[in-house]
Amino acid sequence: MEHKICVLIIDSEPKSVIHIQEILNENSLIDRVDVATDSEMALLKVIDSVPDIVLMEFPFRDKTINELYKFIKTKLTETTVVFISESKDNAAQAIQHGVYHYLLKPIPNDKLDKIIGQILLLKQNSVQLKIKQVIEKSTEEKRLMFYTSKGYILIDPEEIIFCMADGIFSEMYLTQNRKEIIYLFLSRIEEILGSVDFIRSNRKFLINRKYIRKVFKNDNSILLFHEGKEYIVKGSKQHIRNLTKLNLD
Amino acid sequence: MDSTNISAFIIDDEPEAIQLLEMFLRFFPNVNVMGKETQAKKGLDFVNQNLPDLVFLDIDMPDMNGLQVANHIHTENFYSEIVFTTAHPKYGYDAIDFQPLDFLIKPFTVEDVETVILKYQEVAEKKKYLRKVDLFIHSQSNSPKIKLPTINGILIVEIKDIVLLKAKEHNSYLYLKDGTIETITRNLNILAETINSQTFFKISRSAYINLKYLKKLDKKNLKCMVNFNQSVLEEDITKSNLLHFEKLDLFPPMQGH
Repeated sequence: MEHKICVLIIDSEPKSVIHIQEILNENSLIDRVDVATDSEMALLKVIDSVPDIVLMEFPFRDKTINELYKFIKTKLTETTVVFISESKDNAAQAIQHGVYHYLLKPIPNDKLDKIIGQILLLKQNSVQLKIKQVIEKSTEEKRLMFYTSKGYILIDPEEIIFCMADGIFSEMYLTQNRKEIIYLFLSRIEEILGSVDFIRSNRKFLINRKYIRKVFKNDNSILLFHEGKEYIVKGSKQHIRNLTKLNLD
Repeated sequence: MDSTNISAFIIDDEPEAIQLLEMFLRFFPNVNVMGKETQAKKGLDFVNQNLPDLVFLDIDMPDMNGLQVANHIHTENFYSEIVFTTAHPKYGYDAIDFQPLDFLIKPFTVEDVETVILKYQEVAEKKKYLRKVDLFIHSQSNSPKIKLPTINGILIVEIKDIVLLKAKEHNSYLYLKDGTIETITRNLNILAETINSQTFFKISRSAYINLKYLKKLDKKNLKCMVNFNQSVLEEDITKSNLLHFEKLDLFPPMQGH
């Protein structure tokens, strides 16, 4: 999941707009920047792009902008409003509007970047996103059928902790302490399970991400954990590097 | 207007200003003025011990200015909402970082106070809703996971499996449901921010508990008991955090106070 930020600048001063655009262009978290110099344009852009951040010139130039602000505040609950102003004097009014991001022109790079960082964090932690994740994961997963020495086995991928290559066969370590020999190359199992949260940690192992508990950088190993039982598997340097990055994507 | 009771406290060095605000607040029967104080420091102590829902706070005061008071309230008690009341709009810029509920410029009217009350109700509703959603999310079988840095790599856990967070110098201990204790190389506050879940409740400067595992609260000895791997852990809870817990109104009390 890549999170990027979409920004709308509503400002009637061309010089100020250019300055903000320059800062935003330097920021790698920014995906899209729109500009509106009057209220009509602003309304269209808000509806069109549903921005994550709206940088608004404050105090408002006209009543339409005020109405637009109210619309954003009440209807676009995931959008953060940042007021940009010539003077400190209007900050009290900003508080009355319930806006706590208030930047003075000319906008300092570091302050704007800091706000963007905070908003990205908010976005990644938003309630809507969490609910979406829970719902997506709760959809019923189909069981898969594999050949074994004795016949077939039907397994929900959730039950597989990891698979280990053993020549032309693969050993499948399952929940409830079960183990099965599957008549398939590990690479074939990888093709089947690769789409459902499994990773090939190295040539020998295909592991279920769900059961990763610890990742050790010192000896490139991964500890899988389920029902009190621990399994140590090896990982390639690249996988270890990716896994130890501190985000869950 | 919603009938939920709102407790309020007023800090202002001018008694006349307090009187006027009190008069305005009498128009709202669900608002209970717990107290008032003309000395900022005394007022601050009261606020941190009693956690009023709303603090009306003047800025220009002789012993300690309102912004300093707000700073203390902000760091010690994240429960009370602040409303600045001042004759000087110039303080707005310095006040904005405290994210006050409102900023009333004297002389203000009863309508302005009504706006404050409505805002408070909206914020309180939102907090309550978020807490419920959070509890729901973390009670699902596929609850969100989190990656945390350890001394020799990383740890991946489901947030709902974390029982307790404890500070250990610059690191933190993470107590997990299955009885394991892990060291996370982040300080407690950053860890709590990273977990960012309403189900985690601060019981003292050095510990957070997952409310899911809370078993008992001992008000007399200021202890809370949490379930941990088939046994019970006893942790200290501070008085103000206990009060905060009661104010959260998470579980319906079975007996009147």
